[in-house]
Amino acid sequence: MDNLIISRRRRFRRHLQSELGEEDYLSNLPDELLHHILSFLPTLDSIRTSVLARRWRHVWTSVPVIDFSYLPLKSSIIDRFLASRGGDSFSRLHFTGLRRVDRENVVYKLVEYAKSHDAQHVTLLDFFFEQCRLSLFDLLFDWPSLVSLDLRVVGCKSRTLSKCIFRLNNLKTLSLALPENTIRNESLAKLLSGCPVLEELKLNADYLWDDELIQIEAPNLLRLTLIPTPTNLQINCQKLEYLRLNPDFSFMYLHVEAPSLTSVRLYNIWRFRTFAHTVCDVTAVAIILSDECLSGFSPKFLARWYDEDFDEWEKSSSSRINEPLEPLEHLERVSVNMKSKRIRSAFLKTLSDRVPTWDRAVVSY
Amino acid sequence: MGKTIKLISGDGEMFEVEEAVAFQSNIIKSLADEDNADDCIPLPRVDSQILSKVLEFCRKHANSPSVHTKFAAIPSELCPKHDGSAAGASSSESSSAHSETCRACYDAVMKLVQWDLEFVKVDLDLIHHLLKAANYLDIEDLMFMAVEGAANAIRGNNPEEIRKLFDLENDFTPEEEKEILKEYSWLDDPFEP
Repeated sequence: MDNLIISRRRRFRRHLQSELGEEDYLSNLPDELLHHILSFLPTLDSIRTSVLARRWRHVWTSVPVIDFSYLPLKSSIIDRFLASRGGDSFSRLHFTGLRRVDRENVVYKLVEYAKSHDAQHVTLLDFFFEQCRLSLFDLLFDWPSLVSLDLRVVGCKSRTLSKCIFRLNNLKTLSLALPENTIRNESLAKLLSGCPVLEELKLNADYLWDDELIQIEAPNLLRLTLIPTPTNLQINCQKLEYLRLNPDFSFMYLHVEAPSLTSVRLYNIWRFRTFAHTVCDVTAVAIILSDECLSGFSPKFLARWYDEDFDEWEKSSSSRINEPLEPLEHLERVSVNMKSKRIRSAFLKTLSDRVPTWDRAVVSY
Repeated sequence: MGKTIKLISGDGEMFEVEEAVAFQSNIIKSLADEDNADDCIPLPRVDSQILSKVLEFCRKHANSPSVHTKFAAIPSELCPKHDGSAAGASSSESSSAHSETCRACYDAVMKLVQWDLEFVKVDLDLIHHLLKAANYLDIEDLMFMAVEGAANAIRGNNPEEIRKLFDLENDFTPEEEKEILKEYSWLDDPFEP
């Protein structure tokens, strides 16, 4: 063991005392460092470094990042680029479109190239995805090497995910924004089971009007953001640490099984009691509440303290609302952001009645 | 002053700094980790002017979370607000990462990023030396900032300007240069009308 330490020490000392070369120019930096520098640049700039000096002629072809964001590139340019770049692997594709119709399938070509070169991180934002023969989703959602995907499409009303096959065995981070695209629980379940190691999910999609129960079950999920939030939601994620929801007026049912939950951001949470019922076993919770929509209304969860009639509608929904609240034994930190002092202090009083260790909790607002 | 480390620059000047500052360099940290505590560590490839700049950077970063750590993973010891006096000293907080909703941590990291960006808004000769020093001493945050500084210098500039900025010699023969310009002629008109 000692020998290992001594030889390591020798190696580091040698590194520090190694021969001074002649005047070192930027070009004498190792290849990886040059790649690292160029990976910060838009790809067009990176390609242009090929004319700087001999040392730089082919450096750009091995830069592990492709970034053509915000450029209305001709399809032929992409073809030339892909041919010139050749076969070096790369890891990150970044493409933000201009919301214009992609008549020549520039995006498809880039994605196909990325996939065949085992790219791991793909960002595709704001590109127009009209009905087209080629299925980009089929390409994107069956990708063994993909580790993170950030996808935001526009103009995709008629596409649903119901026919997709999801095979993303290495996917850890997924951000999916499909506004105006409805997603059914069945598709969501297929998506989740196709991403066994998923740790972070951000989903922006519409849910059908029939208030179908949406179930999120993902054994490795650590962070979940669902905005907009389905009206009936069930979450069963044993490792979940961070949850962010923004339910609207019609929000009805929430059940959360998440024993590791530590940070919750609830915007416009009308039914706090519903939420609180289901996380009373949580060890530590930070609650951030924001009430931009509350002016003029008082949140339903405070109805106990005010002389208000319950809505008929509220009476007919889950009877759990009328059960006594269970104590939140482990609440440690509360952060409240509410404009109305009256509502804020009423809310804090609600909590203080429920939390046996309230005097030890840290409250900030 | 806590435990200190002695460093000797290439031109023979000695710098004595706190451990936390010097240990921003992974190389120095690994070396000092052993029991030769009184030795000076010689750094022949960094002269005193650059070394003092590097140490300025390290001093700033010594007791802050790295700007590249995700907020959720910042240990609570490094939070400017929760300096051990957190209410209740709950055991779940002790040395584990504290909540990413901590505003104090967020502000501290953002301030540090601003400081870093100003730090590398210097002439390119200095960036070039910082790059080499960060590479040589294996200082992650400095490397990151120097690389970004170098990339900013390349971005949007034409080859002549870039060569001037980095002191690069155009070692192509005229024929080679013509060949390359032809090879990349497709770059001249890349955009759709």
